[in-house]
Amino acid sequence: MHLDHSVETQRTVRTKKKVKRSPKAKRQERAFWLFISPWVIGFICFTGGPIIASLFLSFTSYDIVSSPIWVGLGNYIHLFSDFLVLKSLSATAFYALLAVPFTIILGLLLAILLNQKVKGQAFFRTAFYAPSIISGVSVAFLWSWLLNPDFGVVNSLLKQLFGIDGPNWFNSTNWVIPSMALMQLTAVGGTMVIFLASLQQLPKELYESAALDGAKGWAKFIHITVPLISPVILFNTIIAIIGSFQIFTQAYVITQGGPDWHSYFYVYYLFDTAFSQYRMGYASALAWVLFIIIFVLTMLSLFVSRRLVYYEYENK
Amino acid sequence: MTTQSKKNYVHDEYGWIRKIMIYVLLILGLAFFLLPVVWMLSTALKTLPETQAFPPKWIPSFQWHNFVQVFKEVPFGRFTWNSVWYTIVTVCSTTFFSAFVAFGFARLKARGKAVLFGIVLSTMMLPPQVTMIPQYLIFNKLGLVDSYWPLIIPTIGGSAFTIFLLRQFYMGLPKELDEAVEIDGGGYFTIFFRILLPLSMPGMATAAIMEFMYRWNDLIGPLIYLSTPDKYPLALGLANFTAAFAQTPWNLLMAASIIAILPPLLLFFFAQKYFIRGIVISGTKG
Amino acid sequence: MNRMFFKTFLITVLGLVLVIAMSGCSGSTNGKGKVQLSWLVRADPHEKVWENQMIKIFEQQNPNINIKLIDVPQDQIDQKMRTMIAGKNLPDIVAPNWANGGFMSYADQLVDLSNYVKKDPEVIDGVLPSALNLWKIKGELKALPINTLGSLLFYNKDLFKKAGLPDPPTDWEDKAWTWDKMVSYAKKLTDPSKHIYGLLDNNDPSVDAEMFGSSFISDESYKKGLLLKPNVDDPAVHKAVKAHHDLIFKYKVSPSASQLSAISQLGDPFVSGKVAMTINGGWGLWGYQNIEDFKWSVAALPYVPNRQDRMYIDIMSISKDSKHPKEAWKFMKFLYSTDSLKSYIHITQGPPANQHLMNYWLDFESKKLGISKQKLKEAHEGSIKYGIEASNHMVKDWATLIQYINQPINAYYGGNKSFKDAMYETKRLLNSWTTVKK
Repeated sequence: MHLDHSVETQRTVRTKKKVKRSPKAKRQERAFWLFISPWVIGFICFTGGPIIASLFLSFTSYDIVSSPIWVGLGNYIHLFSDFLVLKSLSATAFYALLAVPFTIILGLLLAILLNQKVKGQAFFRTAFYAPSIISGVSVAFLWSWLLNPDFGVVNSLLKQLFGIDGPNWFNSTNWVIPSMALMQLTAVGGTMVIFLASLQQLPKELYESAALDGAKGWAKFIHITVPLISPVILFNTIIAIIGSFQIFTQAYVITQGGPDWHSYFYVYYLFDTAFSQYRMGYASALAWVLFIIIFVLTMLSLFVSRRLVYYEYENK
Repeated sequence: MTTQSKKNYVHDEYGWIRKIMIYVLLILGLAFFLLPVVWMLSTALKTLPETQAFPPKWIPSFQWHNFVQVFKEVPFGRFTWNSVWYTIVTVCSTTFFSAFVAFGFARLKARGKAVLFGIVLSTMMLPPQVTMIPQYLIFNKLGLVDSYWPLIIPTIGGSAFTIFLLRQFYMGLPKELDEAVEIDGGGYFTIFFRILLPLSMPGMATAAIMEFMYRWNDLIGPLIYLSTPDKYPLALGLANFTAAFAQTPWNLLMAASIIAILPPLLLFFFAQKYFIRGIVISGTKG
Repeated sequence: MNRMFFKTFLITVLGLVLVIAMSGCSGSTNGKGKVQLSWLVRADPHEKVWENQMIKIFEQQNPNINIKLIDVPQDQIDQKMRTMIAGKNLPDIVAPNWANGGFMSYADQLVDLSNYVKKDPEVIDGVLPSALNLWKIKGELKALPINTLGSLLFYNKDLFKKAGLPDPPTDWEDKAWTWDKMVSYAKKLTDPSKHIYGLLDNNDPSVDAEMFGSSFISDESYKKGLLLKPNVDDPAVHKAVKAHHDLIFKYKVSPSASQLSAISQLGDPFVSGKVAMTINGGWGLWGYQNIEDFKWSVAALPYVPNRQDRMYIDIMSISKDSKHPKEAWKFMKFLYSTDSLKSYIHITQGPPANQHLMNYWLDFESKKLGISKQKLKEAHEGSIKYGIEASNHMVKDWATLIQYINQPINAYYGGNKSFKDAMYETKRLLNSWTTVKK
């Protein structure tokens, strides 16, 4: 009530100067700030500071122990002549190119499959999700076994079922990135669950009326399902881009960046510069370059999505 | 449910082919997704020499006592308890505050909103490796290191991931809902608590599950902030299982990993019914 | 609705603040009267048993001192230590060689122990001078060694017997035991039909170079603990790299780099009986003790002129951030007492740096492994005599430099790169490091 009162008085004061904004708009703007206030507080107190600090550090030379020394654009200039930046960036981009589309497509298809009314639905959903939960060292251990060239299950299946000699997977310069992407595919559970949840929100009448109009499976999927869940497709795409460009742990544990730098991902390099070379300044510069890359890609997705994503509730 | 029966009628001619196809796909998928899990279970039930056998054995000698051994080697119960309470607290807090913030971004008009939302997204794009130390210094100044506070307090700002996720869900709900409430004289809190929150339960459950998995498996956060082994969560306790130079006891590590994935797996099994419960949005159109 | 919400919101925030405040208070009251020391170690199931035992006994003897053991996975220690250094709260007692960064990267953070040692000379009485002086930087003693591990040749006795070969010698002065002789043994031991390789050189190329009497970095770089100049063009380095390559492609007695990483995914291939001989760090002594399927023993590395044997020493230090260096020293003194070191030998089986305990270790270890005491003594002493302490401990940023060496040269060992390209890339990368401004 108190809030409403103050809005009222302010409105009477302001209306004399600016006539355009309606009381409803103001009330809404006030409510907006109230609703996002937790994030604003968190940003000011905990997340914003370190981000600005890292931006500052990217213009310095800083070994954590002594105080940072200003080097201007030095780190950024050095970055362009750094052989490993190019190597690691191309490994990362290749990975993202494989992982992002496959994650989205497989995630969506699995979600649709698991949304069918079948016996043991709960079991299937849980089973498909299970590999996504296994973490860190364990998952690396499991996959280096499964994809072992000589006695791994995958290669022996390939041999027995199709008569193909499987590749060297993690130990081959050509296959190491596809192997990482394949490994990531069993961890598609997160994406799948998000799609699954979005499928639950679809209004049933639309399908029923479409069915009456004679729309069949594929047409329904393209013309009704995809537009309706497009906000979530956008979400999963952006998250997959961010996640792919920040991939690191798998390579750190399984291949140590090898063979011949082929799985030396960008963030792996960044981690090395920060924690094994103690060049926090340079690492920060690397981080901000990655930030810009991801930012541009995200903006691109958002730009494309303007034409394609359909929001039930659009406002700006 | 007259429409329902009509719909079934349209589909009946293909019904059984479709059913079979679905089951075939499900079983193929099952084979792919359960491969790592089965191998994990098999390794957990082996003796140490068996884990190194050549060629590898699928059928173990069923060393069930490995699971008991795990509890003897490390304070596994303690780690589990730490993980459980820490995860519950952070999941509740993150999901609640994120939902709140997401509502603002999804349903309310304001100047500068697009820029602010851009900043929210941006916080995800900077690799955490470079903000870790500055953030540590903040909590060090506050005297809060070697406790869970540095991991819990920031959750009041929600998480960018969850805010983004829930915003997308809220934007998928028809705006007539809001208008109906406004006509009835309700405020934004009414819209949020009475309408959106209940209607977006699948989204909320998803967000909570995602956050749960992230917290449950997070190694680096606890590694940086905690310095008392009694306070370690499971993820860190598990990582400590790998031996530096002598042989890593893979069988025990896998047994421990299985115990570690059980709680999230059970949670998922029971939570997934919330996804099934599709909400007929039009029902509330009133 | 609005009001109700505000109330819950306020209560939540207030509650959080309150709990934080309380936790802050409890932290400060905790240390009343008692001195709290922390000890950062790597997570290792064997070492941990010893560490816990030490803490228990020490705390009984010193009720006013409390010791907190912080165990961290080895791969994450650098991250943990660096963050703590930034916050100026590095634990009181650290083991810098258990971080991948190694001693030299952390030397500036460590306390000079010279005066403590002068006051309590018994702590270093009997410690091998060559194992102690390594940790002196500009006259400051920064660490104390706890063990000394050389590299040895481990061999599978059963496979040797089957091939009708005599045991390789434990005498490092035996000049008949040459590299070529080892290769000829390896050829006889290799059995492609059973996927058995004759020899596995488990070392990275920098260790190969040392075995051939050289190094990838200049002598001065090693002495100063900092890469000043690469030494990639040295003929002995070329010889070492080619010798390793020959094992794989010419003689076909070793797995290639990619095959090796494939079979290593199982664990150490020596343990699974897939290699007959392996050149490995001394931790094989206890790493291999559980092998049941065959008998094994140790031997000297083959004789190569000017050879050096990669040595690994574990150390303990007191950090400059310690607020209680005196108490920390008290604990160090306790760790390096005869009883503690004996217990260290019992639990970890590591050979001691202190010569007074050598006999004790030999007795214990030879019985444990079923190897004659004389042979074990010969093999171990030779490895120390020719020992050169590991570059990852002695050279700053070695973790990076070894990547520069490993990645191209492993590509050569894997058949993916020519010798010339690999050496050129290594040289270029190492050179680029000398000009990097930090």
